[in-house]
Amino acid sequence: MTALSVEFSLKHKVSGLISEKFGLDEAELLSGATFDELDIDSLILVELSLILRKEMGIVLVEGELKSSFTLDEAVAVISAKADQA
Amino acid sequence: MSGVARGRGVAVTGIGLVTPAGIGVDENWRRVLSGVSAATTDPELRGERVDISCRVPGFDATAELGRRNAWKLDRFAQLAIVSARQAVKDAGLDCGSWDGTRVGVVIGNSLGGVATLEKQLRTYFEGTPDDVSALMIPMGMVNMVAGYVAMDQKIHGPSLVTATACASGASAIGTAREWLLSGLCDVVLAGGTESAISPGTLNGLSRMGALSARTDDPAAASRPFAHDRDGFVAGEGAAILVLERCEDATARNARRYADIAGFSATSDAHHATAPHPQGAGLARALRDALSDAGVLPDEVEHVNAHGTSTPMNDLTEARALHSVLGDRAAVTSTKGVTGHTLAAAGAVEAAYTALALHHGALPPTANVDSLDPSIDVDIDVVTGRARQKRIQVAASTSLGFGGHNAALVLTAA
Repeated sequence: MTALSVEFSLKHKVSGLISEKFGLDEAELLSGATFDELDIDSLILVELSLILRKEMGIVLVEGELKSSFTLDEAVAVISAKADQA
Repeated sequence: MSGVARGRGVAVTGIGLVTPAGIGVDENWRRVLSGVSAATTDPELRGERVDISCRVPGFDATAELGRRNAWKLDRFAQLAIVSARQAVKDAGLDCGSWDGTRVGVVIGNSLGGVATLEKQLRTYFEGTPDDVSALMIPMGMVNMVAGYVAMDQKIHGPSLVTATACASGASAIGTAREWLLSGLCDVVLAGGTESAISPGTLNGLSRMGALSARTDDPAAASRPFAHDRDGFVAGEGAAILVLERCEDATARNARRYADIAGFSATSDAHHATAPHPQGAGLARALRDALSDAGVLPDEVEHVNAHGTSTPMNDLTEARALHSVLGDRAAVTSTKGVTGHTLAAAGAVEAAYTALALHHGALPPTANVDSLDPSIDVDIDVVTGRARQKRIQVAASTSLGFGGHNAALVLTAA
């Protein structure tokens, strides 16, 4: 797979997880809104980090995911971590 | 506290009920009048020493609140939010149009999100610190339910959780009445909530000897005042009342179920969990609440008793009721149907008392085949079928571990 398609697949995996675990509409997540705008606060981002570690083996440092991020920005951070893993 | 004239009442203009007897006022009232117990074998307690409970049947938090909200809340908060929504709608009010700074919320609770805490502590002890959820604390803290209802209903006045164990719901209603009569608030959502049917909690209660061991016949296990009662059945639920000053309710032509006319609370200062043997603290609370309401003891026609179905509570409560009221009032314990909803009980039973005044019907106490002969005073326990009777004055009594006693006096609107 190309780097772009890997990131595309990761994006859908992450948006699927957020949608499934937190009850958000995937279309909203993919709309380019920030987590803040989607009512995803810092506590929920800690929860998301926990889920990413459990389900995908990706270990994020506390505070690496920010509520000012869009899904794309979050996926860029997650993708970089996945490459290191 | 004495000599307070009638007229210090506040009106019950809305009721929300999410209890083992059903979801909503109508379901609850039908079930409570039927006198059929809600206790069943609980699959989530399989293998535990006590495996029966009274859960809210068919409660679907995701359907009620949406998955987006539901997953972040422990069930004790979910039940209260749904109950509050029902109550506000029932009162003909709308949080979109009220002045939230004049609205308060006070809810009784004792064990908070204990099921969440149990689960997270297990996660911690079996895993690593990083496995603990960031939502453990906001889901677990007892105060959070008042905060969540405030958020959901755009309430910006005072918000408070009262914690007097199984008297918490009654304490909340008494507190709300003061907020209204002092002018602090114009509308108060007051009630109680509890959802603590977790293995750890039930084993704790069972080890105390508080729970019925009649696990082979769950529907007969909660039998307040019966000669062969052996403990309570743990229940969950929430009740929220919308309270307003009577003149405000009248001014907006609101339906008034009944008025909360008097309240008092006392402490036994006797024992951690056992009530005073003669029910002295409860008797004093009831006397003071009657005085607060400007009502004479012989005017009381109905009592929704705490009546947990434990050998000790029902005996001492009967003595306390008799010492204040004699044998005239028709006494019922709706816990025969609902089980013991702990911190919610005082509010659930205040709601049922308001409905008894409103509908002119007194619910029966379930499962009382024969009254306990060791109850050495005459009290008129409603057994068998509901009694159709228009009444003007009723009381609801509550006791909690810690020696907390609370009494509410309700009058017909």
